[in-house]
Amino acid sequence: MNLPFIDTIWTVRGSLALIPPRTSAETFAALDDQFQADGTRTAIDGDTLTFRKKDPRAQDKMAIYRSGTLTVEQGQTTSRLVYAMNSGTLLFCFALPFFFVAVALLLKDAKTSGLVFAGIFAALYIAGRILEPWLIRKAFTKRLNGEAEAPDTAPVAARDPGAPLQQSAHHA
Amino acid sequence: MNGVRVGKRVIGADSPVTVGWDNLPKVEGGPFKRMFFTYFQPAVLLALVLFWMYAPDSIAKASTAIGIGIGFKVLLYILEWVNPRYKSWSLTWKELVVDLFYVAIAYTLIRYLGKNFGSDVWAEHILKSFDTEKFTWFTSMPLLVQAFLITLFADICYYWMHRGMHNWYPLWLSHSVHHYITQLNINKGQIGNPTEIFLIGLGIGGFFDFLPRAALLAGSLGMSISIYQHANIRFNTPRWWLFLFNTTEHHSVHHSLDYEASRSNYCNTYIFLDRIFGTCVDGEAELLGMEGGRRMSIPEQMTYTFTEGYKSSKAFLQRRLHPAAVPAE
Ligand SMILES: [Zn+2]
Repeated sequence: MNLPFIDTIWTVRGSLALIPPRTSAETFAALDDQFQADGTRTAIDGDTLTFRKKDPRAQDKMAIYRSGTLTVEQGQTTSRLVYAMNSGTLLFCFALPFFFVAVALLLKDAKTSGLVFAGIFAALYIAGRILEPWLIRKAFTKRLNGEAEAPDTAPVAARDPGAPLQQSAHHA
Repeated sequence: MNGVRVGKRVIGADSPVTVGWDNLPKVEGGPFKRMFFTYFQPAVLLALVLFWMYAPDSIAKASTAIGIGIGFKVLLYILEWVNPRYKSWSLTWKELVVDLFYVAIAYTLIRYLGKNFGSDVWAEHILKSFDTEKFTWFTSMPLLVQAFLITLFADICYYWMHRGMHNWYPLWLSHSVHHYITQLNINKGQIGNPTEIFLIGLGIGGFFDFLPRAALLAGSLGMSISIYQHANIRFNTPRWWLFLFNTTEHHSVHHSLDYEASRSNYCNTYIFLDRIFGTCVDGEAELLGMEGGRRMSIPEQMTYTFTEGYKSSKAFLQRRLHPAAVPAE
């Protein structure tokens, strides 16, 4: 059976243009603080950074992720960061509605409460699947491009029209 | 770190703890905000007591109590967001998922087990053998007195159970998981190894079902005092409230990374029990948890009690059977 998109349930993917273009070493140096956290191990091999996290702290900005890779792709005059990260929490939350529907069906005393919690976790999953990729993209963008948004998401008009592109990127 | 002497003990030698009411931070903001967060706790208590004393029977039902409980929790979530005690305790999506998972387990599986195999069952059996007429001395007292005595009796049981959990290793194995939480939110009371809920949560509730109104009043009395203990809300808690009742200030001391501080404030509702039994520390703490604040995953929370219990009983047997064969650590 072919299920090409099934890992979208627990995988967060994305890419952002690096402004100004950077080498992989520069990029990973700028992201270093992001991975300075208890229980986090990283390894850099050429243009790819791999990380693995175990029991991250509650306030760790990447607490939902278990592992992932970040790759810097170089174009002619541009460069971009491509990432794919696995989240045990997303998978867990995705499974919870099924679990509590089963509880509601099997335990006669827990019919209403089981269904209510199944609904709550389904809503929480959707919220988390949207919120967490947005938060991590924002965090990466802030570390790499300063306050300015990466151009493939932000409208050009949002940038200060008087400032040259290069300067606004270093700003912040 | 030096710590502060409280009675015979030194509090805050391993990890910072604020000791003393005068050292607690105050609510910042305009006069309305300060007034709101000063009188919120007493006002809710008063409103609920009046409601359960005077509401007609058609409204004063268990289902109303559940509805009020849920609505009140939602309100407290908003207050945590509006006026947090500590930024470092902020609710994240992951914390919310994990917290609600435990809440959901409590409302479904644990409740089911309690109903069919727990205190509800044996309470019913014991109560059947009693003559309800023997309780007229109790049921003829004013409703509020009945409710207070129920909560007081429940809290004395809770106090000694909880203190026992901190002092007897087999019980500590069950309770310690709850002490690995590193931040407080209103749902954190549910987090722990499921064995603990049988020891502490299913205690004596079933015994009071024959006193419907008094039990409902007792339930909301207990809730409107003890629900705040895990809340990440900055209050200007009035002095008399701090003196009588368990608060998030007291309970954060109990969850502190500091070992001595964690061996205080054992009550669930009435902190004056800790004052009477000599275990009260007035203050608050921000850094919480065990083992330097290591965070446990859900699988570890579920299994820790059993794996640690197995490891230590194995080591104990080895020491007993082959004292020479075990290398000194
Ligand atoms: Zn405790």
